[in-house]
Amino acid sequence: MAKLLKVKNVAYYYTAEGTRIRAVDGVSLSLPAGKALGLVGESGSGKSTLGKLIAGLLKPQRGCIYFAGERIEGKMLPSIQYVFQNSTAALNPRMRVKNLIEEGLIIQGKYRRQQRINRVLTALKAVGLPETLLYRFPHELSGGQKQRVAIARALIMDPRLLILDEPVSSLDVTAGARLLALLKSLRQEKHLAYILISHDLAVVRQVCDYVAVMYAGKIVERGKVEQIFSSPGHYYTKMLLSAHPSPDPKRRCLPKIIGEPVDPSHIPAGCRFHPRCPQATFACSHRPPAFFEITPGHLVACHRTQTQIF
Amino acid sequence: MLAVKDLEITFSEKNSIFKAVRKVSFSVQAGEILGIVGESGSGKSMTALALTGLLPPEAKVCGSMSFAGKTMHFEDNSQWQGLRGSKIGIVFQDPAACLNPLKTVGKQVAEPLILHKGLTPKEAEVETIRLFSALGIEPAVQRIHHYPHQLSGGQQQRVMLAAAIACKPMLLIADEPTTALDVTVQAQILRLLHEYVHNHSAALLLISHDLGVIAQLADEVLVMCGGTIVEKGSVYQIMQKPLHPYTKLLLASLPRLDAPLKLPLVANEGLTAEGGCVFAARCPHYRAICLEKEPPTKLLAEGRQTACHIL
Ligand SMILES: Nc1ncnc2c1ncn2[C@@H]1O[C@H](COP(=O)(O)OP(=O)(O)OP(=O)(O)O)[C@@H](O)[C@H]1O
Ligand SMILES: Nc1ncnc2c1ncn2[C@@H]1O[C@H](COP(=O)(O)OP(=O)(O)OP(=O)(O)O)[C@@H](O)[C@H]1O
Ligand code: SF4
Ligand SMILES: [Mg+2]
Ligand SMILES: [Mg+2]
Repeated sequence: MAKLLKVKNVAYYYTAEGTRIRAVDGVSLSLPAGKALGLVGESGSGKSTLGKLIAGLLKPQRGCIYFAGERIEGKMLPSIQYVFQNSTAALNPRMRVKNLIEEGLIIQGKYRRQQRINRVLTALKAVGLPETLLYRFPHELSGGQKQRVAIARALIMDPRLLILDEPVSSLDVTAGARLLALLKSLRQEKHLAYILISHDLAVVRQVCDYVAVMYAGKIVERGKVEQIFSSPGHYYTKMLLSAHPSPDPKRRCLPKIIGEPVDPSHIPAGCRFHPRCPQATFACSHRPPAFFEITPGHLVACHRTQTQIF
Repeated sequence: MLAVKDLEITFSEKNSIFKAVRKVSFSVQAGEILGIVGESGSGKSMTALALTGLLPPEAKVCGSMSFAGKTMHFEDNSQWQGLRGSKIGIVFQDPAACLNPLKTVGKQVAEPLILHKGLTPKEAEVETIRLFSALGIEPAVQRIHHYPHQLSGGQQQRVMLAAAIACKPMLLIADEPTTALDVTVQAQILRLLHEYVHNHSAALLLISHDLGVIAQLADEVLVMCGGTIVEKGSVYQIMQKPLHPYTKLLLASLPRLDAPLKLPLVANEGLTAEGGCVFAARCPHYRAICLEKEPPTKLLAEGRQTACHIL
């Protein structure tokens, strides 16, 4: 299948107080049109940075990004829209909903006033907001409503790829569930591709076709949702799944978690997860593992998985 | 061990009164974990703050609580002084906001030990090091000299926990203790909370909007909505056979690893139910009476309770 998005070996390093932080360190992935990829991993693993690289908000120091066959590193395209983490806090408090949503179109300067209003109304409807909210200010909206305005701002540009950075983590339980339902239905209607960034595996499970698990700037496992959830290969993915609190009191399990999240300025050698891995061997602390395809489309970067297969 | 009776917290607004918590009563036994769940604004934190005498000054509070054999009235703030930090320990959601950025974390844990337990600074330091290693804040001997910003979010939360349990309180109150953390760090903290309750026969009041967290830890659960307790029962009853429509909505809204979301469609928005059921405006089963009359609390078999007209 032709891929809409192809990311090849991209890297992005921040420099803070003299230390180099390898936020994204050689990541490759691809996504067909109309499909949804979930990007999971703990805080600081580089999810947002990768999202911003794809959206062209940051330019990779290494690697290439192809969108619909063209190289796009560092370019912002209308057809790739990025909805920021904490986007609700980022809405300009002095602008009304209508202006917030049409801002991108005005900058683009392609449409007349009436056309713009029609498009605002369509976008508003797509995210399930009533027209009565058009002239409100952000502080007059609930968290869920603000998040919808942020999504409408992106949708109005007619993107083919929508990158949503932690869309539900700032929302209340019930508002979050409603937003997830909305994201699912939008995808079907508009044939949109998503990259959904979240630290919550269950959120990704609800919306996505594919999952990529990040750890300390690298993808450690990727595959179809069913593959990752029913037969996780990497020990970090297993750790994430076991730590997810199940709502079933009969399945109580407070797993013993080894070690601490990685300090990004001191990334371990070899497999970056090895200091926390229950199965680490000599090889794990010395050589970075390569990707290995355990079943078609399911890739794992782990020495142990590889030796177990053979 | 702890029994709260008719707790009511109100705020006066320009020309109206806002009830953040309405006549809430509950109790906790030693060695028991009581979970409180509910959406944002349901009054969970206000309830926790009342129990520790930390409500904002503009809040008006009435009701009483008996704790460790003493009955206290919420109106009288002076009674809390000796309790907080010694007999009642507190952990909040945001460790960064609660820890003093200018003091080493070791000092912040040692202080209550000196203040309430009368330890010498040297003894307190030894105890702090012991607590730090027990909670996995390693290397403890060096960590006590660090400032909060030198620790990760999960480590800061463990420092808060260390300060809260330093004096071995009988009651621990944890308000969204893991909401800001990654799942792996969350699992560590929940495990530590569980161990503390288990080893010291303490009681824990665990507040969370995440039913998954509650299901993993709690014995009994209170479901709060609009400042009232709409349902109460054992964790099995609540998670497996929820009765109240609001509890059902909360459960249906929780993204799960093993099943797709099934959201009930609710759209009574715009209804006002002032004086009626707090959930009527969003309830798929509401009837005329729900808009007019507050549903009374009904006691059911096996210690269960709900407040809903149709049940
Ligand atoms: N502007 C910046 N300057 C310096 N370092 C940064 C900057 N932005 C991010 N970082 C660092 O880069 C690493 C990756 O950050 P990123 O925001 O991509 O992580 P994330 O996976 O999105 O985390 P979270 O789940 O907390 O949002 C982190 O260690 C972070 O501290
Ligand atoms: N100082 C205040 N003045 C007026 N109203 C207040 C004040 N503080 C809190 N409230 C209101 O009291 C109600 C209960 O708040 P509370 O903090 O207990 O909710 P919560 O259940 O803890 O929610 P969350 O999950 O967001 O923490 C809310 O509607 C809130 O807006
Ligand atoms: S009392 Fe009425 S509105 Fe309230 S939960 Fe029960 S049925 Fe719904
Ligand atoms: Mg991020
Ligand atoms: Mg709260």
